[in-house]
Amino acid sequence: MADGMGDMFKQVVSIFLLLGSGVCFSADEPIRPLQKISGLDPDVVSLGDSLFHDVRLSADNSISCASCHDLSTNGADSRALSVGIKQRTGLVKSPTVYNSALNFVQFWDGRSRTLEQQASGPVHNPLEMGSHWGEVVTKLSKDPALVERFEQSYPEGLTASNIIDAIAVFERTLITTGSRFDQWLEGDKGVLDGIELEGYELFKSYGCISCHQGQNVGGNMYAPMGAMKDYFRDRGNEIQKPDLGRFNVTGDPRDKHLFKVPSLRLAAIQNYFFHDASVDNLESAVQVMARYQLGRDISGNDVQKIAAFIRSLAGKHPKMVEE
Amino acid sequence: MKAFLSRSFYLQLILLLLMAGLLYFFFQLNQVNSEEHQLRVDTLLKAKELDAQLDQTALLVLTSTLHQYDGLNGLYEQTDDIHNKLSDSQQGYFVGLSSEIQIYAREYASQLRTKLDYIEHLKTHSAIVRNGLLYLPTLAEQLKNHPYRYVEEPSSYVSSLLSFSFLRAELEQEKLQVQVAKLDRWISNHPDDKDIKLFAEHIRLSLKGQNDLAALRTEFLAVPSKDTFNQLQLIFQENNRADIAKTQSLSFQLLVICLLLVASLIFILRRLDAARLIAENASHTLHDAVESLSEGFALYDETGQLVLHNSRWLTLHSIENPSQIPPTLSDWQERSSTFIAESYEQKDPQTGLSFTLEKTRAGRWLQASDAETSFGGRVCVRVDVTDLKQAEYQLQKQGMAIEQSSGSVMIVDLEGVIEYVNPRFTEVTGFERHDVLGLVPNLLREGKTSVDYSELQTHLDKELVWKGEYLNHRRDGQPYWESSVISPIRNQQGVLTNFVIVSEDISRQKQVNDSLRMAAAVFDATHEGILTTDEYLTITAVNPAFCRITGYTEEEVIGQTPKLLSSGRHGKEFYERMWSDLTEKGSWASEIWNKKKDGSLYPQWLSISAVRGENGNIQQYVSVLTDITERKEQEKQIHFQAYYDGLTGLPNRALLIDRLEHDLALAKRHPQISSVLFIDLDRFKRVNDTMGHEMGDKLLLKVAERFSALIRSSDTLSRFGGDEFVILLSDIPDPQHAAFVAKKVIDSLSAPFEVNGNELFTGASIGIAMSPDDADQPTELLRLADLAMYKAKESGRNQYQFFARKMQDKVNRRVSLEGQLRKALSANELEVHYQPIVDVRKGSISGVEALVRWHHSEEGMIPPIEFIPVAEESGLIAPLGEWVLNEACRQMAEWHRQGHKLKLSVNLSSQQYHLGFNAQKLSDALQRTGLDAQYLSLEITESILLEDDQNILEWLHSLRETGIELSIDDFGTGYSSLSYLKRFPINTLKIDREFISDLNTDKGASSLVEAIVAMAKSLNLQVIAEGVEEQMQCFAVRDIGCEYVQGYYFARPMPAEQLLECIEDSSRFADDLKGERAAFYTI
Repeated sequence: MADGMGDMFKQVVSIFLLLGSGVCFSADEPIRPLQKISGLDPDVVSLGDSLFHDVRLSADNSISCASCHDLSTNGADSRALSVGIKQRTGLVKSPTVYNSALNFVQFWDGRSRTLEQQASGPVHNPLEMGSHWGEVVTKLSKDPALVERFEQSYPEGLTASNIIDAIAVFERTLITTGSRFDQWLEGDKGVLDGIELEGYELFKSYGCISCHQGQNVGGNMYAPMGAMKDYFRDRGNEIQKPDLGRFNVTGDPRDKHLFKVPSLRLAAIQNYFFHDASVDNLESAVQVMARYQLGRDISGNDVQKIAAFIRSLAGKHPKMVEE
Repeated sequence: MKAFLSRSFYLQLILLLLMAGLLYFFFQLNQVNSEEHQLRVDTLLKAKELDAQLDQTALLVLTSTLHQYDGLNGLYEQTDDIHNKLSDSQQGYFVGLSSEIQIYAREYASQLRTKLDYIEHLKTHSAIVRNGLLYLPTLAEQLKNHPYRYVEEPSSYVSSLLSFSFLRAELEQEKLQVQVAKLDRWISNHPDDKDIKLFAEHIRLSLKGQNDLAALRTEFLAVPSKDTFNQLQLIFQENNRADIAKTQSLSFQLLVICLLLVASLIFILRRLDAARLIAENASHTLHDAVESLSEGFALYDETGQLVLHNSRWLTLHSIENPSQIPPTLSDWQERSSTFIAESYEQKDPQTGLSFTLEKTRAGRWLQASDAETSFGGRVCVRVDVTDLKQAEYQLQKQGMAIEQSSGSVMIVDLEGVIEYVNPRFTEVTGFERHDVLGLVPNLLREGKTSVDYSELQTHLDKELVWKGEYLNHRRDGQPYWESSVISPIRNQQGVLTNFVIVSEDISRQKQVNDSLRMAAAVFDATHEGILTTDEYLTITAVNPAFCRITGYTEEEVIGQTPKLLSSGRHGKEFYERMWSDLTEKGSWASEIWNKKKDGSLYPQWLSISAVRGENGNIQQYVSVLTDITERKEQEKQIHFQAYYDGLTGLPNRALLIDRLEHDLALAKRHPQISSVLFIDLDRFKRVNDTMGHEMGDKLLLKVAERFSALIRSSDTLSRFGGDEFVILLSDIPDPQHAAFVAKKVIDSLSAPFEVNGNELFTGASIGIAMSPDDADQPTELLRLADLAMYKAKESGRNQYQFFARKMQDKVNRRVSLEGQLRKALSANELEVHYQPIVDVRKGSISGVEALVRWHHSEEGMIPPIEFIPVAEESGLIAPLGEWVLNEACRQMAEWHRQGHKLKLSVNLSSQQYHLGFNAQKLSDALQRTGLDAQYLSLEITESILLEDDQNILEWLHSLRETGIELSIDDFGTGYSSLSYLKRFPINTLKIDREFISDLNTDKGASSLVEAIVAMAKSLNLQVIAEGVEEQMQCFAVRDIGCEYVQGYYFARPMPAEQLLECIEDSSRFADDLKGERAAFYTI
């Protein structure tokens, strides 16, 4: 009993710490600045870059990775759902490739652990590139210049696993550093205005931070879509297979509607939100999240402030086209 | 022959078979690979480590300790890696082992993955639960004025949920179920009440979330990964044991094969050896014959090749190594100049045969004769004739010696007739050779002589050598003394033929002998050591005193140089000065360190004189030396006692200051920083008091030893007195170095000391002062370091502290405050004020806290925060505390008599415990003032509970036994948990003002205060909220369930007379609680 009381006291204090804001005893912010990944071979990066834009990865040479992950914008598709070969439409919104190296798993349902495992997904998906590695290797082998580049970087030359490696290495360079929020984290306190700072405090005090935290402001845990209220009932449309989320991977009923928490880093510049692309603006997305994930409706004023904070998260990458 | 061949064939066959066997077992052995085993063991260890890490992570997630989960990404990589190594069917490390091991390895890998999956679910659910608990207080707040509050206060749901979350008590869950049922009833009666519906939904989801989390935790814990691991490890070890047994058996077989192989080889070698021996024997016989010749012998064959020679040949030509001998005759002739210096033909005068005489490079004379052999070869023979040649030469030399001898030589026959005199004889006597030949020596004899010629005659008759002196005269009649030796000469047959008389003129010598004898007596008798050398510094004489002082005997030093006495202590310059003095002035004297025979060094007073010869050149040196060891020892002893500590032998305070002065003076010329570390041993006094001074001294010695090992030779470690040491670090790069040394000093004491079989512990507090920044005078620098040391002691033991200027100012202020406070105590400048404690349920004053105030006659009001610490440090807290207690009790007793039954709180400093405040003093105060004990509560701080468990506990109990109550002041600022509090006889908690002021700014703070109140109630403790300044705070704590409130919102501390007005008008507090702000009570 006596120990129980001691534990209880500790728990009170730890909750106290998490509540943050005014009485935060710790300088640790739950969001950390994005860092470039170092030690990548520049030749391999450049090779991966070429492959990322190579339409020969698709069955009918019509699309490349970049078709649905447009690096000049937010590394995702400007359309709600992407279009694959033969104008076939995908089932979920394509997530951004930017900062994806920092995600703990890939795909909405986390069916790939690593970027390397992920690369095969779209290549093999009949709705996307509809091809397979054997075919891709055969096509690329007819390009002597490309074969030469492979031989310079890899002892085994052009193979399926080296294509995957080069693409994954290239994807690791896609980190959007230097956001204003990161500058603030690194000590430049004047870079955020009052609204953005209030937005950040609200983001923490409402509890958004419980899931959207870390370098990527998300991307390191799963959460159920509709934790506090049934999202899919309210959405109305019939539940599709992709709506089942992680259940499709594990078959565990507890995993129904469980999705990887997406990164909010580039949320400010994306056109559609959520796996089903059901919302098309940031403020609505914040409201939907509050209602279904926190079980509460928050004022328009607070929504504006949180949105302002989220906009300060977006960093830059040389591949992006300045507006 | 055929039989031998076939035997050798069989032998080769056996060897071949053995080799094949060797190779077979060697490769078998190699298959039992230990590297793979190591990889497997590593994998198992890493897997176990990962398992523990997973457990730890689960705990961190459950307790919501992590702010963000980026750090967990590494777990995925590790789990994938371990999973592959354990269970991959191609690359796994366990492929190839028994299927049972593989099954368990796969099982373990999958359990690790399962645990990781559970952690994912824990992350998801703990976020939901956390957000629910975050939102519910707000939701409850919004329902504050909702009619449902008549059914039940919405905030009580939040409290229950929080308690359930923290305690997971069945009781709370049942309570919550009842509460939820109430909500459901309300909703069924008011189907349109959306607010309550939302509230109920959140309560339900929160409960469900918590239950889900608990279920997940149980499932996580139920994964039997530990059992699987143990099983896997057990089977793996068994498997490994079998492998080792197999290896051992293979090794044994390999060993047997090797042994067989070696045995066969030995057999073969022995056979070969026997054949070789027979051949060698024949050759040896020839060699032995040649070798036994005393002449040098060499034989060349018809081609000129050297085929045989004996060792005598080599010796004669001084060839040390047979390999250097030219291999052919032509080589020999070509290189003959290497061995032969000169050679010429000679004829034997007796035989008339001619031969060659050769002189070798080594000076040996050889007679060489070469001859052709019958088969065209050449035989060379060399005979050593060196001895003959030498004898011939010797004779020549001796003849010359006699002619040129400095003694006069005369040869007479047996009759005494002179046959020969040498030129010297003529010089001495003046007689020419032709004058004396044929005469007898008597012609020289001087008449008056004391020589006994009969003795001479006897000697000569006996054919013995005679030595003696006699007086002769020269041709001109002048007498002179001569010393002679007369020896008989025999021919080769041993027959006496002549006498030879060798004489020397010793007239001059006779004269000087007398004075020399006297000098020798002085030389032998004097106490000073005397040493003489020739001009080349070769020692020519030493006297007995010298031998006594240096330990050398005369034989040992004569012929040596004085260098053998050199101690090596003096530099080049010292000797240069000595030589220049000797050359210029002819003498030199100084104190000098020399070395005795036993190697010990000793100081001596040495004076050297150069003795010049007639030509003015220095001929010899005379040194006189006096041993001054004893005087030196005495000087040294006196110096040591003045400058070193008697116990440890370390420099003492005086020497330290001396060195500091030197160091600081040096710094003025060459700027440098130095540092003084003032070290005070912790707990040393206790050792001294409890175990005796002898143990204390031994401990100090060991401490000094450890410290000495830490510092550079240029630093000074000194014992400053008692248990204080000071280290002076000279010329250090930066202050960080001083901190580094201080850290080393503290670390060096962390291991216990063994003294007389006891393990003793000590520690150190260190103050550091830097020169020239802090001070440039030794005593000042030491004082500042001492001050910093006290500061270090204050901040806890085993600390070091740099001196800071602020410390000095603070000390000055404290010292002055202490004096003034002492005066104030006697001059009645102190006063007790009282702050009301209000019962918020009744809206009336329930008690007061007594607070001491100081009106300084000049400085005005001095705040307690400034003078209470001074009182605590100086011990003045004892009289001050007792005065306040007495005064407050007296005042309260008076109010009681007037009918105001209030409770009184008085602060009790933890220092008062150390200064002897006890139950007796407390009862005395109560008795003296007549206050009923149950109205008094003493306030203590949490810190005292952490000091010394058992004694404090007994003290607190004894105080409680007088009937008073105890409160914890400033609760929440210390480290005590509620469970800890339970052990102490506490009645009341006073929540620290920090928490109350946070109520304005933070919603979470109210949950915390709420939790504290709930917990206090569960422990049956009263709660007082301190520092309530605003209405909102007052209402908040009241709503949480806190019954007593103290703070400016109601009243500031005030003098006794003002408080009386306040009591009489206490209805104002009731007004305050209605929300109408009443008059503000101030002093």
